[in-house]
Amino acid sequence: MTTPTLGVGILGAGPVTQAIHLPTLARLTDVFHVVRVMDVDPAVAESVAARVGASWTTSVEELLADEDVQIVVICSPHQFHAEQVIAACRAGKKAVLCEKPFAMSKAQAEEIATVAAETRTPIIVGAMHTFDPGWLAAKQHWGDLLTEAHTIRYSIVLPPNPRFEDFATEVVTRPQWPAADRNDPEVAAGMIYGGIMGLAIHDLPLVRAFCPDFTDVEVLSCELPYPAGYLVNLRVGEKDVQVSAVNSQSWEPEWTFEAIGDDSALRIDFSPSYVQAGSATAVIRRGPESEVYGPYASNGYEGEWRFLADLARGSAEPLDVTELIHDLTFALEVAEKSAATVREATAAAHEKVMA
Amino acid sequence: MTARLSVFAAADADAADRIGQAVAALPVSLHPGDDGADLVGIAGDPGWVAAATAAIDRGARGVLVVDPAPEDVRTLRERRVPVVLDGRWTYNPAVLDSRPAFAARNDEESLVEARVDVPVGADLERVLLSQLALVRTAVAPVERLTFDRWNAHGYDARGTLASGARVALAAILTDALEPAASLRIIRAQDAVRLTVPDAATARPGEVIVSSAEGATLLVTKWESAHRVAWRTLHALVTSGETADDLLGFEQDLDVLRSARGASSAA
Repeated sequence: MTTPTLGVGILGAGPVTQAIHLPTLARLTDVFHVVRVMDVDPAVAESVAARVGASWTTSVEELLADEDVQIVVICSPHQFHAEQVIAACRAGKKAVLCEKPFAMSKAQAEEIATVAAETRTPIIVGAMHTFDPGWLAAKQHWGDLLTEAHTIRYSIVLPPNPRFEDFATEVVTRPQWPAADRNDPEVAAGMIYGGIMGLAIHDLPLVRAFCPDFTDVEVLSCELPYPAGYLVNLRVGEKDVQVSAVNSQSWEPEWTFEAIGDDSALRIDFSPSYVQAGSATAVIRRGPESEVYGPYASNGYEGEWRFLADLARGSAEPLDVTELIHDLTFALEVAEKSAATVREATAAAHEKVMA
Repeated sequence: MTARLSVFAAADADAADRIGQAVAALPVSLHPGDDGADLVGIAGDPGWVAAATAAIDRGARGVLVVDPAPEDVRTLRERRVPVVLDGRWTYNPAVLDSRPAFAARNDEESLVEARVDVPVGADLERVLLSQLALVRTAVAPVERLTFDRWNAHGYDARGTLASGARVALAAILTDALEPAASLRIIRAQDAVRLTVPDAATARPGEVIVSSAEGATLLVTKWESAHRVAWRTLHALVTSGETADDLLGFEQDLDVLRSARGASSAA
């Protein structure tokens, strides 16, 4: 007897849905089928739904009311995440996958936690690297490094998203970003905040894993590189942390996470976003000896979806929502303090020019 | 015909960089000598300026200093005798080869990132001077520097170049990783990445130049930085030229002292 596949409903059908989730679900047809796709743009909703033989709608309520939708994935703009997670929980769905960040404030996150507990709906956040087999293998083997590491480095050289989206699928309708004056303190601060909450947030849970005193965050410096990104030096408890990203056309994308102690060190090289290019490669070094884990055939996207299936079927323990709240509040604190630093520096530079 | 010069290495300098191996790898140009040899190798421990001056007084025509500590070098510079400062990374052949690629991309919208991994217990001021020499040689001198941290695990600092390019310097103290330096310049449209191993190994440094058109690995040269440093000193002495190393060191030391003074004051 074959197990029936789980019905998926998708809120928001932009590039993330098109280039990440649908290609991942195409690898998991024995587990999932897409039931309904919602987007505020009816042409996008219809086009994306047609790719997978699903029905479409422009209404969140209509999608949530569909009893064939057992799992909801939320890929809408950030500001809608919290209310849609709550609505999905209240609609009695079996599990919810929300793209990061799953809320934009601690209060929203706590409200989600309350509703999730009340409805007993398992929730996961689409921080794909936390499900990457390379990261999971490193966790199993890093031994004392978790406490020994004194330095954490998280670095991204980000190629234009369309380059990798176009390797993954054929995207219809991309969001357009208006040009902005980065000499304006609010614009500069907004770029930093958006960079942390939109990009750095992917692996801030990994950073937090190595920072037991994650509520003790000091931004030592923050700069806004050209054309966009962030360069943040942090003290988190007793750990020296650097979080950086630069957007570049360079044909050498980089996405690395390092935790370094006196006697052991971990480096993880993640494969680029969007493409189904296998897992990260984790290297644990202890002096002249290295242990290498991966690359494995599947990546974190597939990992998070398989875990979601296990949650929906009751064969996996739900994640502790408190941990998700901690991840979010850590990211918010880094983002807010970094943005404030850049706002102040940009304003000071502006005043200097005016004088 | 190549002039063959004698080399005398103080015992501590030999231990520091295995001068004997470099001399043995240049058998037509160099041969071991004794005190009073044409070329003298000394360790860059405190007092090295006095040791170099004394060597010159004894007739040395050129001096090589391994991993120099911060010291005033003005009087030594005025002797106008070639002095090569064999820092931890500067003389790796990949560094010289990277210069045109870095120079072409050194502008106010560039971000220069430099990181060194060094053994636990390393002298951070000497490490920083070696790192500043690396940035100066490959890209341009660092003009201003501010420390975000300076502690038992290393440092993080930010600075600028004359072009307006922003610089981020880091040192990480660890015995888990091989000693190495990396330096990269990133811009919106392209990047250059240089990686340099320890000075004693002949394993090559790498220079990768990348843009939207692809990434190119420049020629790899399997020559240790120490050997290049000795080859450079030989060439300077036989051609009658002087080196710029002391002048650059003096500038770097000003940057270090200014930044450290500011950090201490804060």
